[in-house]
Amino acid sequence: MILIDHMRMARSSIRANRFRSFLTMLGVIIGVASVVTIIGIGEGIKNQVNRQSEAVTKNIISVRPGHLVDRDSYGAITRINILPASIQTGSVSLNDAKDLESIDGVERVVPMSLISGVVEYDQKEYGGASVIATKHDFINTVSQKIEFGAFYGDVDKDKKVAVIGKSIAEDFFGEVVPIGKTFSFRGQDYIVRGVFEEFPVAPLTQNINYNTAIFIPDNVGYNLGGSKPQLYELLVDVKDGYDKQSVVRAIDQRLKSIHGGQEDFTVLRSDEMSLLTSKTFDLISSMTVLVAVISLLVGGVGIMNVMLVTVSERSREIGIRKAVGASNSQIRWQFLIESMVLSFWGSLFGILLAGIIMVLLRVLTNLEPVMNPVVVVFAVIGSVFVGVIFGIAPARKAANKDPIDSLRSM
Amino acid sequence: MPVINLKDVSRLYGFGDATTVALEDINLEIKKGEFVAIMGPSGSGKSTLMNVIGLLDRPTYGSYSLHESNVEALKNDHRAKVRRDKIGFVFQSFSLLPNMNVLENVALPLAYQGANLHHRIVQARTMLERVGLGDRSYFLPTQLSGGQVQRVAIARSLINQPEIIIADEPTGNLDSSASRLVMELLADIHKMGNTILMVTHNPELTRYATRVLFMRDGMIVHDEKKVLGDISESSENTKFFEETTDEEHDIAGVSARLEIETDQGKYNVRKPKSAKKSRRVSVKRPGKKKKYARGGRKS
Repeated sequence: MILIDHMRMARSSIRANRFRSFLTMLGVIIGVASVVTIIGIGEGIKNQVNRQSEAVTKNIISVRPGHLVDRDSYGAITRINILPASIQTGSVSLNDAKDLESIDGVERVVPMSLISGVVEYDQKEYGGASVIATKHDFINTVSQKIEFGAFYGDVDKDKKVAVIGKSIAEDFFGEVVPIGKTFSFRGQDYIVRGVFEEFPVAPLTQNINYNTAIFIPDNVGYNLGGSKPQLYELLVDVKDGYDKQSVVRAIDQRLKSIHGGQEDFTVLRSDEMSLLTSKTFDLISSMTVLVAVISLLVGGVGIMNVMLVTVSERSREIGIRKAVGASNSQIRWQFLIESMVLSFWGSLFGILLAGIIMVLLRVLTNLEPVMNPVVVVFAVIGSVFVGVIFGIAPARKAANKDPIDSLRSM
Repeated sequence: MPVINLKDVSRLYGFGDATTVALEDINLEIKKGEFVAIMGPSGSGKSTLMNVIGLLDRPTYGSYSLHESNVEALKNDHRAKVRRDKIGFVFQSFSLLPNMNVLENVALPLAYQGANLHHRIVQARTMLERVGLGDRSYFLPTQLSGGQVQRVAIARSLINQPEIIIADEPTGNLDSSASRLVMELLADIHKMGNTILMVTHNPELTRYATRVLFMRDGMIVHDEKKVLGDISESSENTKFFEETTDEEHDIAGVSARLEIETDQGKYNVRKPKSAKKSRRVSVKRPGKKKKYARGGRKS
């Protein structure tokens, strides 16, 4: 008997018991939906991180305090230390920044310093802002544009001016263009000079969200901070025509010699910065995908259960089929294909469900999950495989039924 | 040349003390074109004989040759093939698959043969026309009457042009007019040269048969060739089955009237009073019927 006939029969018997078929598929539906959704969220986050790092730090090298990654001799990252927070200060200083500027191939070094404190405007406090003291060169380093106003220049380095992120403008000042408005920070008043365009934001990253940042000139910030400015990052701009990797190596060696051979800093290329986040997320998502795959297997067990029940329930049918000349192998194929069809449709419904969940996530959260066609294909193949594996036992049971006993039942 | 040839066929179920003999040393030859009616009380082995002949069951002992080739030792899949190509089954009830329409049901044996869809549909349609149900092709079995279901089942049994049709009480659940239609259909098929084996409890239906077998306790106790159209004489004589002696009669008579002695003393098994009581309880129903029962007691 041809495969098509088995499929047609499977379809008609699945249709005859819609509700039970749905329940049978439910395990596979949930399994596939969770696998596809989790992988989709992971990919979405990776995309978002990439976009973020592209926008903020396109052609630059980041020097961060703390030992974040291990590298092999070729410079590839072998291990990521998640535990030390990225915003760790202390081990990279302004002197390091000055020193790095003398390296061949370095265009400029922009030290980034986080200043603690609460900003105040119109008698209300706002704790969600991170105040960052940085050089006027920052605007040349990032590929982000100022939407309104302008960034402060070299001449403003002792003036109390500020450039703010878009969220700050909207949430804190309550208007889109709060240029010329004054807010106070640590007892001093600052005038808003400009507003950044919205920075692309990726969830789960360890980077600072620049949309909620207030940038003030470095000298002003350092005076506020008291003794030694706490740098969380040095942004190193590479001159055109220089190999980034060799500059990275030069920076690495220079800093190591300054720090007395101690590797208490990390030099990252811009593309590696997103890697940091995605590696972290990979770890989380691989665990979750494992759980989801287990749920897919449980779905397969569900199929097996229901199919076994179906076999005893349909023994009359099996008897008739055998009487009219179905061989054991034909009966076996019939039930095997039925569970395959069930799991196939289950996987399709699961993908549909995943699509709905993803749309909801996009609408309701700042996650941007994407559906990867490769994942979809593998989910379908995987669940059909599960259907076959767990369909074998019921199919064997059906095929080996004694025709007389089957006919006698009912 | 016999189509079916059974030699010393026995079929036992269970083993040891629990062995039951369903067929005992059956010797049977059925020639092509015979319409054999098989009668006998339930448990006499009629269905087992049908199953053995229909290759659904294997004889425990003895040999069975179909068309002079031995089939009792065939492997399962081979037997399925023989069933498919040479034997058509009509069962007493529920013989159609409920979630397929009439046409698909009729075409089922062809599907197992591997015929293509077009051929299957054309054949099935022809068969349905032949049993007078061409206009019901796309009905589901639940939408048909009992007689129509059986006619569909006959159409299905015919679709492979089998030499043998095995019908196990095909009219068992039908009223007399529907059952006459079904029997006339079988008679037509018989006239076209098919061999038909039919189990029945109804002596009337032996009119259509050319040969009547009586079975009892797994043995063929009477084999009668007859003319079409007549009711088998012996089938009307139910006493025929009672091969008992006077002595057995006496014992049966005594044991029927026997009183049972227990620790509590003697008592009759059948107490008319208690029987009446139990009947009244069973009549008791809530609501209106209760009222009716009360009224009945008053009068």
